[in-house]
Amino acid sequence: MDIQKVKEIIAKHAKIEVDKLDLNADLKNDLHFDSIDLFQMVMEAEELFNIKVDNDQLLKIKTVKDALDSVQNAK
Amino acid sequence: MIRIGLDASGGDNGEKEVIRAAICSLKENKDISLIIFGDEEIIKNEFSNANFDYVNNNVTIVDAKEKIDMNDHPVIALRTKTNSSIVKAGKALLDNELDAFVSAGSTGALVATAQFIVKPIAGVERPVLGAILPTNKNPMILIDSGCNVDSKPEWLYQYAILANFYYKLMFNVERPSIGLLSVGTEENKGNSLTLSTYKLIKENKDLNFIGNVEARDLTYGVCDIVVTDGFAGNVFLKTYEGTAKMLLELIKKQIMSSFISKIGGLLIKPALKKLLTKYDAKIYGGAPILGANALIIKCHGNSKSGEYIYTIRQAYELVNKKLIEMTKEFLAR
Repeated sequence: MDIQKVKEIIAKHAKIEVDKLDLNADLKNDLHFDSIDLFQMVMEAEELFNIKVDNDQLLKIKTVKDALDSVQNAK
Repeated sequence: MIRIGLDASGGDNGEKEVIRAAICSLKENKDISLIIFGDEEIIKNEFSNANFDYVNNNVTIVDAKEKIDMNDHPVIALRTKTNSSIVKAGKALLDNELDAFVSAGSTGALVATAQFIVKPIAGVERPVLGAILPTNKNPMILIDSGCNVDSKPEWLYQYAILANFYYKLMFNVERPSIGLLSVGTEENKGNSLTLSTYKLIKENKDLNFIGNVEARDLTYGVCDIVVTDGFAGNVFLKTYEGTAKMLLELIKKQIMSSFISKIGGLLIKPALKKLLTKYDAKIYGGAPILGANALIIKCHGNSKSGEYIYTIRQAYELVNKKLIEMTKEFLAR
């Protein structure tokens, strides 16, 4: 999986440049994501890589790193 | 013929009220067909109990046994409860098998359907609920009435544009007045969200923006459209409903408290009835989710057949007036 592509998706939804993406940034508090942003982002990654992120895992995503890990670990 | 989807299992009052409304609507309007989503067996039983021949009266039943309840996470429910009425109807809207969908089910799931299944109209960031409320003057659209609790100024600005278009279409008013809900009428009053939104709406000269409005003035009809975020909007809506309910109960209790007051009650009954009819919000139907690629109308969770009937009429009218197509056309300009 091209992790750079996942970062690009996150950066696009956060409306920031990809090289400014901090792995520890909190999606809600630092990047101002709401639940719709989060799900849109995950669904975009699911479609791109033809994967399915586990629903329980999806609800645990808090940071950029969590999002990357969830997509990477998805089957 | 207009194809209206009806969620039989979404409301608090069960399938019976929905089927009653369906029968009444089919009798009053021969230009509609109803596609009813829910537990097929229960729906058939309700038609049978009402002695209504649904087979020969423009009714299609789509079996959807799963139910999305209020405790379900809306998006997770869309991903897992694929045999629910809301998901099935969302897909039917997407596949152009329906012209509108009426539901008293989970607001979150309906909004998620607008966002993830039928998708927002190009350029719209968040589809939004616009409820119509009675006031002392004209009907008023409350937007957002509970969709997006954490909003951004750009979204509120879009809500103003969407509601402006919807109001014009619904009530034939060329320049509806738009107020921004705040804690004072002065331009500098409010929080960071309202201060930023104020500037955005003010810049658009096509909108008849009257500035900030206060919650206490809304019932007096100070504006035709009140723009706010989903959190404040929903708090306002429920305070409005709760206050009205409490006042009515107090009046009723007072009237029944003595023989003399009962006579007084009889004397004011016609005037009171007239007043209640004027302030009956159900005549405006449900709250459409504006900005989505298909028409979804949310009814109150505790809707009875009357509310459903008005909402089916509203759906019919909005489809005939081409709300979705005209909104798309307007936003593409």
